[in-house]
Amino acid sequence: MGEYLLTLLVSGLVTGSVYTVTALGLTMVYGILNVMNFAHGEVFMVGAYCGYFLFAVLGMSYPVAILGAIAGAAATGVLMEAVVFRPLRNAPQLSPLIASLGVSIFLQNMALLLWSPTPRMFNTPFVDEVVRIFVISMSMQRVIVFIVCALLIAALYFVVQKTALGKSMRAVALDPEAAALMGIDNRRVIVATFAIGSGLAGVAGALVGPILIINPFMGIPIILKAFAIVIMGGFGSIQGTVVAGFILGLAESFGILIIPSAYIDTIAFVLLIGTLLVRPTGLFAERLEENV
Amino acid sequence: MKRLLAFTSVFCVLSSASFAAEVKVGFLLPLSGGGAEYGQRQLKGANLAIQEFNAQGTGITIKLLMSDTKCVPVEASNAAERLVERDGIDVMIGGTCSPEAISALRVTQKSKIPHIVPAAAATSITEAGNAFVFRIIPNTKQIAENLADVLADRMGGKQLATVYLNDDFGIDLNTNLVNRAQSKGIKVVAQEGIERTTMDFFATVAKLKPLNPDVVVAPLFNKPAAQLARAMREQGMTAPISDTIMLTDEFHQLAGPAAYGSFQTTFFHPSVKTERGKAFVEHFKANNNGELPGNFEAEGYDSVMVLVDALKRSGADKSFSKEALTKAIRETKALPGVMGPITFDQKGQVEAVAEKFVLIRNDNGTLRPMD
Repeated sequence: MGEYLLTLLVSGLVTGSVYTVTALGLTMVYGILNVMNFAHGEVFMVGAYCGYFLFAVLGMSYPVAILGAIAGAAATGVLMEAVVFRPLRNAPQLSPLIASLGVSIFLQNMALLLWSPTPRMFNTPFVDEVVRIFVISMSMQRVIVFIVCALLIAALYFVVQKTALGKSMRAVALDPEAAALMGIDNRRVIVATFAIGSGLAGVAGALVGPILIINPFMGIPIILKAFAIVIMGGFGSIQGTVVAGFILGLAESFGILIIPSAYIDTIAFVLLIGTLLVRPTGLFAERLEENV
Repeated sequence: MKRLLAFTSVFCVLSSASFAAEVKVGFLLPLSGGGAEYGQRQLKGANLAIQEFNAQGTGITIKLLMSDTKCVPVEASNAAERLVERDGIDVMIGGTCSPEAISALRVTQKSKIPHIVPAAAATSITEAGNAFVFRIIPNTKQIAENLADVLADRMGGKQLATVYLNDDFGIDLNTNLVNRAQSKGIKVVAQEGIERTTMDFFATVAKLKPLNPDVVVAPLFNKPAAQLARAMREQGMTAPISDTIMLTDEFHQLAGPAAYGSFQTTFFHPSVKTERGKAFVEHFKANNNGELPGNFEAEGYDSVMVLVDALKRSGADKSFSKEALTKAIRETKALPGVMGPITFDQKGQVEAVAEKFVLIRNDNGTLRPMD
């Protein structure tokens, strides 16, 4: 029994770390633009495909493939910002939201056309390399996923809290006009936010691609989870997102103890509704007055 | 104007009948998506049968109009609607995943078009009182009970776990399998339904492992089944995966060593003993660069053979009305199919079920029949 629970714990931490990294990208964009970018899941999918093509088709090493996935996903995000979100900067809040849904559908269909709907297996050598940690065994790939995600979360926290770029991001998130008056180039900060946020989704895609099966619709379940996490975490709060991401990963993993595998996906929404009922501002309310 | 149109259409029908009759066959199959491999395999088998028939010079030509269903019910019924209304097909062949087959059958039943089902197994397909459906393979209940018997009598399974798709086929199969297995004294330790979108089985395997099943029955698509096999290996489970008709070579390639020892029941294996089967294997190889046919190729082939046989027996005037074709297909008697003789019962379900099953096992990477 101890071994079983420990396996579920580790499984939950791995899943949670992927959810968190993906949701962090979403929450950063939300914090700055006040827009839930529903195309974020497709950025995750693009990252997975980039990693797959670089590694499995072009035969590059896995670290290079991951860097390529970051670049591909960041480019997708920056392009999305320039083509869709920038022209809608002063439009009513609903317009960019709906536009993001449009981008999401567009990217799914683009992937269908370019890469066919047939699922692909993205096999790194780490998938079949089993490691033993205490009493449980798992593939090296899962260990890599967790370590890289944990490092990314720490790095992002450092960037946002300690660097000049992070400071400008927080300033723009707080009050774009005041930030501009203080000499911050809002446009540059927004582009940087999209690049970092999308890069995070891309790296998550390239990391879990080998654990999942790659297909053009793989972004849909992940965006739903990330969306729930962002709301649970408190709309734009980085700490909240990290806590909520791991809570969801662990809840899904341990949820299998009491509910069948087929209904695991409902846990995210049960938690979401529960959070909204008990704490409508999310776990870590960033900007209380705006969200109530 | 109306009269002129009527005259023209009568003329067209007459002229086509007197020269060479063309029979339009709609073919619904998944050519993309998770089930794409099943569709592509059936198509190869069907094309071979059509090619053989058209070369015989009977004065009848079979024209295949295929449509991709992606194993999605809505796509299947839209495609069926198009084939029936726009292309005016005479016969439909199709049905791989049960949910898509069920939704396409509503369209053909309404239009009274005979519909041959090659691969969809849900029991309800031939039990719903549809007079136009003909299925060339055993139904899910028969498949499940056969597998349970195999597990109990031959494979020595004492404890069983199932991981099944939460759809018409999966639930049907699981229920029947579990009932039969329990009546044979097998203990069912876990039944995990999953969604078609489930791609990571790590937590599911963590749940199965402490229950110590001897066999894990996993009637899933190739890729998810391979993921399950690998997750089991990852956590050190040694129980073999068992399946029925859904796994093909793709599973064994993707899962690699994780699939060693897995076994499944199927309806066709290239080691077939019958003359009819051997001839099919040889002809298929010659036409497909030496590739060997499997279950789905045989299903595509036999579906067309049922139609060919009916065409030969019906329509002396070569008009091939829907009624005449339906009647002729229903009267199919001991047709030597590559998967065994084909005779339909009153509901359109193929008879002589016990002889249809072949048990194969992955022996360190090679699929071998078990006698």
